[in-house]
Amino acid sequence: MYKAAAGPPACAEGALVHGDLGPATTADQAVEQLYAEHWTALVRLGTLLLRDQRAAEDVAQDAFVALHGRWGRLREPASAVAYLRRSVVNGCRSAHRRAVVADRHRPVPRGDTASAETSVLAGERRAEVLAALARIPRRQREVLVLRHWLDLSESDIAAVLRISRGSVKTHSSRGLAALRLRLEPDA
Amino acid sequence: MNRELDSELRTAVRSHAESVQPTDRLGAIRHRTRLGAAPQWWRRPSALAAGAALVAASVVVIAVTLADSDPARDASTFSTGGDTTTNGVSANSTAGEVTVYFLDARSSPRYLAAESVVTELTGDPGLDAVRAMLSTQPEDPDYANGYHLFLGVEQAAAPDVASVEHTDGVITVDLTEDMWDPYPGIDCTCPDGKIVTQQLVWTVQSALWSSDPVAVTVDGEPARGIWMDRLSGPVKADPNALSPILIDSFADGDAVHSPVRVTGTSDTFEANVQWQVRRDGEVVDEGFTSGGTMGERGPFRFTVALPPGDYTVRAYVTSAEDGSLVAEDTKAFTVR
Repeated sequence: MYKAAAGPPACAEGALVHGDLGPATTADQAVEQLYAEHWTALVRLGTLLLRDQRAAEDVAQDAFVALHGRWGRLREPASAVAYLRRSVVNGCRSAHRRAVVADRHRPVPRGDTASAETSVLAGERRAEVLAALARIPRRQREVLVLRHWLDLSESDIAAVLRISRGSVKTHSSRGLAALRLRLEPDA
Repeated sequence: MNRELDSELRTAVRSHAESVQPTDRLGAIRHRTRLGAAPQWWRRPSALAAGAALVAASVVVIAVTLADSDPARDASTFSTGGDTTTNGVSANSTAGEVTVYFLDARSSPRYLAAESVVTELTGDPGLDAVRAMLSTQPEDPDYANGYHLFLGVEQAAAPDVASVEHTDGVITVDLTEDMWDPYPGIDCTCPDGKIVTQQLVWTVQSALWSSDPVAVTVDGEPARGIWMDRLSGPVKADPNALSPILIDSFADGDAVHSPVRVTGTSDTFEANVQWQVRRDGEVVDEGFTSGGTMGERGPFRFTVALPPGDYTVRAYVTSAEDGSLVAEDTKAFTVR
């Protein structure tokens, strides 16, 4: 079984950390390789956007299944990572809305996650920042999360979200302003 | 100030993300990709036969029926997280079938084709059907979902539906996202918006047993359009949107008993319907039958006796002028 890499992949949009996903790679091989390299980072990306690890895993799983189905038709196999990221962001957007997923947002007692989250939330200020992040407009949150978690450049974020670089800049600065307003309402 | 907040945000985002230890889902992913990434357990031969019954050239009547399926008994329902979920349906929720229209990806111009989809039923049939349409990929590999396509690449998600209201002779579908913006660009190769709009119109009209026109709104405001198809008011169902020939007796991949009864509906020149049954690419039986014609869609049927094995049935119509293929529908099936 693959052990997914820890830590954020600080790679450029579309680039692969290892291996060579050429056109001759089968869908099965591609999925296994991409899973080994990106599963953890994508689930964490989804969790940051959804605040629900299990829902994020569902979304990331769907993204890999969709990629498998589209592998033969992806014009540039190297763009698979971008496809996965876009699928996760879009999937999180959808999952937010779907009642069936919303219902699963009920707190689920889960050993590892609960204790991990507890330890993170021990830092009160960090908890405040994350709570504020969850309340700013969706697009601003997506831009800030892609920038801070995946270290994506403006143009990479623009490609994932299919918006212009100018919009990325705007969403980023507005997102920070909105965060400041929530964190320091009197400032 | 901003730099400080930026750095604070980065620390918070990273420490939270790194605290998340994902469970291993590679097995689940492999399982789903092997099965074609689609649930199998909803298939029941009666569903589409009922679904394709027509009362008028432009109106399809499909019953939204409560299903008696037990997702847990089916091997394709796979979960590593705890909740059993297939196609967004929790094992604990009330699941039922709705008929969803997809695009026949082979035809040009594209036609609509129907599939039965199991989804969560909320008691609001219009909403349930539209939500299923927006969140489901077709079972048949020849079909595509026009709400999931962009630049030829399938998207994992489409907008959701906020509400479906049927008042004063108009069905209003409120979407959460504008399908016009921000996608269309100079190089947009998204699907023909007109047929994607019809996908929605046929799906919601079927669920509500109505031929009333459909208005599309986004957050309550009139939608500009869908995939470059400008909307200027409620849209009627286009009777020519449905594929001229559709098999409805079983879904792609079904297992059946011999003799195999194949049924469908058609509207073709002189009511002609040609059919073939293939095994390993070789035609093992073929024939002609008749369906509807001159804008009056009608049923066709034929029966084939076959030994156990895997087959593909193809119903098609060719041009009387030059013999070129006009339309076809194919279904893979297994004879037990």
